Amino acid sequence: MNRTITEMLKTGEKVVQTVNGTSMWPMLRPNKDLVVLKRITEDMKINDVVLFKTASGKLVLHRIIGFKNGFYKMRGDNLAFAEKNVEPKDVIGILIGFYRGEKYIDVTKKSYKTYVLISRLTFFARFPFILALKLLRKLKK
Amino acid sequence: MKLKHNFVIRDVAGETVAVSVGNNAFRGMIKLNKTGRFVFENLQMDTNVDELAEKLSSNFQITKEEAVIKVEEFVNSLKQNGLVE
Repeated sequence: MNRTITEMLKTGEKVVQTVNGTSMWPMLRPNKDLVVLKRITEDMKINDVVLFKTASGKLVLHRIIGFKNGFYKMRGDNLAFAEKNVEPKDVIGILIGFYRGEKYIDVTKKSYKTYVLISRLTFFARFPFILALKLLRKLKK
Repeated sequence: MKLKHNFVIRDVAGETVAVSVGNNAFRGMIKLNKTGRFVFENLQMDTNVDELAEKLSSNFQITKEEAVIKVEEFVNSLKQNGLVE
C-alpha cells in the first residue's frame, strides 16, 4: 500500500527517508544520510529537528530555534535566515535519530547534543560564509 | 531483472526498511519481512524469478512452488511501482 509521509506519521509509524537539500548540512548530506522520524507525542523543545508543512504545502526538516507567542521559529543548520511564525499544528514529525552513512546517531546521545550546542554557538561566526554561499548559488542560476 | 535504483536496507525499531538513496525518481521507503529482505537484497544484482525462487527455497525451507509464488507476488508489486527493470 502506498502512503505519504504525513499519513504514515499520523498513524504512528516511523518514517525513514533521505533528505533533499543542503539546509541541514553538514549533519545531513542530501540523498545519502537517512533520517528517522516519528509523530509528535510530547512537547517540542528548542534544538529539536522537526518536519513541518510550509504555507505552500512543502515538507521541510529544520531545527527549532525559538518559540514565542505560540509560534515556532525554525532554521536549517546551514541556512542564514529563519522561518518565523510556524504554527504547532503544521509540525507533523520529529527527528529521533539519523544514519550518517552506516552509523546510527540517536538524538538523545550526549555527543549529538554537544554537536548541536557547538553548531548553535558558532552560528554567528558561520553566518557570513553561509550568506556568501547563498549569494554565490543565486549568481550561478 | 534487477532493482532500478540504489537502496540501503536498515533495521529501525524492530522493522526492516529499504530506502532509496541517490538522485532517484522514487523517494520512499519499503517495509520488508524476512523473505522480502532476502529477495530484495538478491534483486540488487541481475537475476530472474526461477533463480530467486531457488535461493529462497533453500534458505527458508519452503518448497520451490511456494517460493515461486512468493517471489512473483513480491516482484510484481515492485514492478507496479516501477522499481524493477
